[in-house]
Amino acid sequence: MNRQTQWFKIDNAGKLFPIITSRMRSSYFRMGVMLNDSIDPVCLQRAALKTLTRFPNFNTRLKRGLFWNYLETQNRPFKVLPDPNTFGSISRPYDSSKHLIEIYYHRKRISIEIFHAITDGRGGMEFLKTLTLAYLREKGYPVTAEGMMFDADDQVTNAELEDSFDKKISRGKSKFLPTAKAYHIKGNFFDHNGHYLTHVHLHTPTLIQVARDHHTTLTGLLATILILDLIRRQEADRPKKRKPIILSIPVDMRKYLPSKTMRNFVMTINIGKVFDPKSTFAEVLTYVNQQLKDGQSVEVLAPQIRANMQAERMLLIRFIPLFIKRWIIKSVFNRVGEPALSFTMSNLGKIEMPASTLSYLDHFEFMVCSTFVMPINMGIASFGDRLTLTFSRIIDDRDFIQFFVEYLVKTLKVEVGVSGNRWEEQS
Amino acid sequence: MARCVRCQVHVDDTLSNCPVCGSFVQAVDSTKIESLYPTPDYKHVERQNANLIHSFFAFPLMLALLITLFIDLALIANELGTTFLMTFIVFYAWILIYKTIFNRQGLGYIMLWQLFGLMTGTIMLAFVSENTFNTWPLQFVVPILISIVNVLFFIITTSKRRTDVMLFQMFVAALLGLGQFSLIFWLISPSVTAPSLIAGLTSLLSLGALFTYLRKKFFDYLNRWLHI
Repeated sequence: MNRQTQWFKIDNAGKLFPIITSRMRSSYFRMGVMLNDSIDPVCLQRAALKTLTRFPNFNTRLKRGLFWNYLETQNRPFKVLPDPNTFGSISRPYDSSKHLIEIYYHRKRISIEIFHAITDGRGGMEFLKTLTLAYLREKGYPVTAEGMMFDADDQVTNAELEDSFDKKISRGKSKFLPTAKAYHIKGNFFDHNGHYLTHVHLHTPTLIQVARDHHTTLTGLLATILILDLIRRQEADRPKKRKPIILSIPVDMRKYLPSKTMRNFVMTINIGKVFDPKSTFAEVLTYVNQQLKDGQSVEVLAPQIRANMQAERMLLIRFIPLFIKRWIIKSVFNRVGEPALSFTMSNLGKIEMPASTLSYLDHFEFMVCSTFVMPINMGIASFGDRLTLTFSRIIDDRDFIQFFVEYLVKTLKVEVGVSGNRWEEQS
Repeated sequence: MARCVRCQVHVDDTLSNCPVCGSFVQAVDSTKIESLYPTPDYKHVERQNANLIHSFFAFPLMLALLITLFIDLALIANELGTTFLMTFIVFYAWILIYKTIFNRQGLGYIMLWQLFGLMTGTIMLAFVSENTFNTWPLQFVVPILISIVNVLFFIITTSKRRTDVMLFQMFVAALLGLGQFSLIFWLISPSVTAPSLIAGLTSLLSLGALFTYLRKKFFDYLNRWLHI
């Protein structure tokens, strides 16, 4: 037994994902970078091995303990694979022969699919950036990290492996998020359970200018259009009683509480209420702006994190064996957790890469997995002048995305480019 | 880039239809233009669907068990023989389908579950037929099975392909052997039979070997397994 087996406790947010994962809820997210040249699998394999060594909490497998799940170093060799284009259709986090991260290549794209228990969107993006840098270096290009990002040749620090929920969130008031059942988009699910991805490519400065013209941010603008779309959709369903439309926007807590952790450190702002079906763009925008302004502060977010942590730390909960705990947590999540949300819009923000790498990169993509309750979700990644919104859906329904795109093109007069993963053509 | 007339958006050159509205926008020669995404690999999905088979079997098996229990208790008062038998069938079917056929854990895992199933099964069958635990399965079949598994585990775990999981399985097999030996020695039989003695000894040797060579690893494992 020469190989050293490290193990990691799963952080507060990550503990939920192994438990709630099911056939219709993969708990994986996907990120991709499009390069200007075709990918060389041999160089990518070498870069992947270096990067996995640099981030030990990614080189792991999921194990069941008596009371909680935990992560253990995966000693099996890692292989980069050709992209199977099956994001979200398969999820076997407990498979001891697999890693909790997959690296795929196809044409000019490097993609990673990560199980949410190990990291959040920001952590995943740092991994992808490091992998991309290592790949470009393996290809022989003169690129450096320029102190802007992690380097695969650096050594890991304890700060990257810390549980920031535990370290940064001090004692204080706690507050649970509202649990009223929200409106959900309905539709016919694909038989193959795969995600149909629609990439919407936009010119970032143009959209920022449009947002400024409406006295809002990019997130505020996109959230408003999505809420308008959901209001229209709810009315089309002819509801007996209107439900609240709740948009869930994950917020990177590192912005508010400085942390270098590569594990989960994220909380969500839930924007929404029961909207009047005749709500105008201006009315929704005013509401969204106010909610974003009120929600994005430690004073509001920390009590919500504390509430989750208190639930996890309750002595009674801690000593309940995992197989019973699974059943309790799953039941609570299925009744009051996910049903309280209508749609997830996850924005990674502006992705910065060193100047020496820019000529080799085209754009980044971010995809969030959809679930039985929330069958359409959106991920946003911005790189240079390119903003890529990716809708991932598991229902055979174009209407929602069509309204969104038409609103951008016809009402806001923005130039839009689209591409997709062709799942629907195959079904 | 082609333009979708309906949506007024630019569509990627590798797509023949607009991903937003589905309208045909351009003819794409797939032999010349490589797509942005490959054709989806359905094998993954099919494999996942295979896992549904065990769920499909689980329902009738549990139903059969409940019906038998109802017949035994309500119709043939206080006679639980058939229920015991049905419990064993359900238990063994579960081991066979879920833990053996669909498992991805390797030989050691299968062996341990089969040992457990066979042990429980033989003891249960003997109890149903003779109404006592002091029977030949507990004195001969179970200890021989345990001894064989202990020896096989020892051979497997000394190979280069040994993993932590295998060592853990060896530990569990040894505990089962010691448990069985103790049962015979203190509770059931006044004299210990030779197979039980062999099972006890092989188990002790396995435990001793594990503890000597892997005590650090063992406590580390306990630490992570029991963390709260």
